Amino acid sequence: MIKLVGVEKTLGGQPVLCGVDLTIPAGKLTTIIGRSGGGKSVLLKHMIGLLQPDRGQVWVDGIEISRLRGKALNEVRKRFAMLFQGAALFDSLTVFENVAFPLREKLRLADAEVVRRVEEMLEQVGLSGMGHKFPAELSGGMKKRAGLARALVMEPEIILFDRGHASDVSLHGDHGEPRDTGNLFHFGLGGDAQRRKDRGDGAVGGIPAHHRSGDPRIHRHRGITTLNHEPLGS
Amino acid sequence: MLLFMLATFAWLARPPLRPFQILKQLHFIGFKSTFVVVLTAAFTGMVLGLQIYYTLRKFGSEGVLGSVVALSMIRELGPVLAALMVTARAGSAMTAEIGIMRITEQIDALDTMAINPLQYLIAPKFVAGLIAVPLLVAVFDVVGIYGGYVVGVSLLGANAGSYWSSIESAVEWKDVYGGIVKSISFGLIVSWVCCYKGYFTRMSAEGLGTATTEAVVLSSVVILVWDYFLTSVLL
Repeated sequence: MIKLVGVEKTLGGQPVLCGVDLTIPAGKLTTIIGRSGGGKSVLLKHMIGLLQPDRGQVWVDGIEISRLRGKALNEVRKRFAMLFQGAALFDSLTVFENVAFPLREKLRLADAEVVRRVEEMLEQVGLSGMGHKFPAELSGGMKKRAGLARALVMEPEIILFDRGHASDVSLHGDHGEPRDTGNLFHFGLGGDAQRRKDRGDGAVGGIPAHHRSGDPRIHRHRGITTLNHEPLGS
Repeated sequence: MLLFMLATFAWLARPPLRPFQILKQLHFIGFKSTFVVVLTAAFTGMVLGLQIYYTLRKFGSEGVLGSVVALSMIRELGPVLAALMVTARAGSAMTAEIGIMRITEQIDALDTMAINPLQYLIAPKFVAGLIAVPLLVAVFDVVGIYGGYVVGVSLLGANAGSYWSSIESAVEWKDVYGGIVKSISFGLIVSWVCCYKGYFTRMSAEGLGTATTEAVVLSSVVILVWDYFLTSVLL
């Protein structure tokens, strides 16, 4: 569970977050929507400690992370993965190396195991055979999917999706049909979702666009709207 | 800015050491700068040979041409010019690369993966700068001295034997030592200033342009000012 208490943040003299109180339950898909420039990305960056609040607290499963530094913060971050607006792939590395990067840096795995997991991940996001390409050779949507693969390959407990604008529903299936955000998530998790649910892990989606039908619990607070769904594909 | 350097050195001291990253940076800062350094060194040596030959001839002492060329190369021109060329070629690229990584959130991505960007990105560039610049300076010195030889001896007809023997008698270990100290500190200045400017770039294309310009200008100025202080201490 992630809990924000009275988070305030001013960036470049502009107040962005003015006392945000927010609770994101574990095991749910939570969507944050708001107008552009409303502070959605800034909010997500607070949850993973990329930004520290000027005032207020950020709790991740009972740990207050906004004052953590160094090792302690890294321990918390290991439970997260984040998909950035522009995918933030390392452009000096190929797609394969990008997806393999967290595995090689953080886990001591045999090379064959790394290759197996990366290939599997690339296949799940529909990029098999693209591993040798550099990010600059990919389209925007493919970059997004490669970024998704990199985020999911560590099997994180909590995933933060920073989706910039509604216009980048550029994720297409194998046959070119557009997929909406809900499918994207389904697409990304694939068979993993059930296992994840069994473990009782949470998933957080910062998907600020249209939301899927269903029975979302809508919560509005100072310009920030959150919706809670059951994870899709489970 | 000082804190940035200290933090980088602190992270450098912690495992894992990244030999592959360091090699890659050495290749980029060092090897790929060789051509431009050789070119600059050759022409600097040649123009020195030309100027000094005509000046010395007025006093009838063309015999010491070699020592004048060699001393100015080893003490001053080698370290300073090589460092300025590395700033222009590799330093600007470093700023742009790190700046782009900042703007496209690649540095944030490293952070979210619990990998310290100072350790992964910056520290290898520091090490590479510290190793590559002294080596390039050595290349610069040698090529420059040969450049002076080509013009002074082959073209203008100074005595070849006295060119080399004057170098042998005039250049002391102290001169070489001074050159090494200078080139190591210049290597640090280039990677320090250029990485810093890229790391803290403003989040726009214009900001990145400004950062690159500032990096090259600041790094060059710091090199020249630091050169004066070092020289006054070393002499």
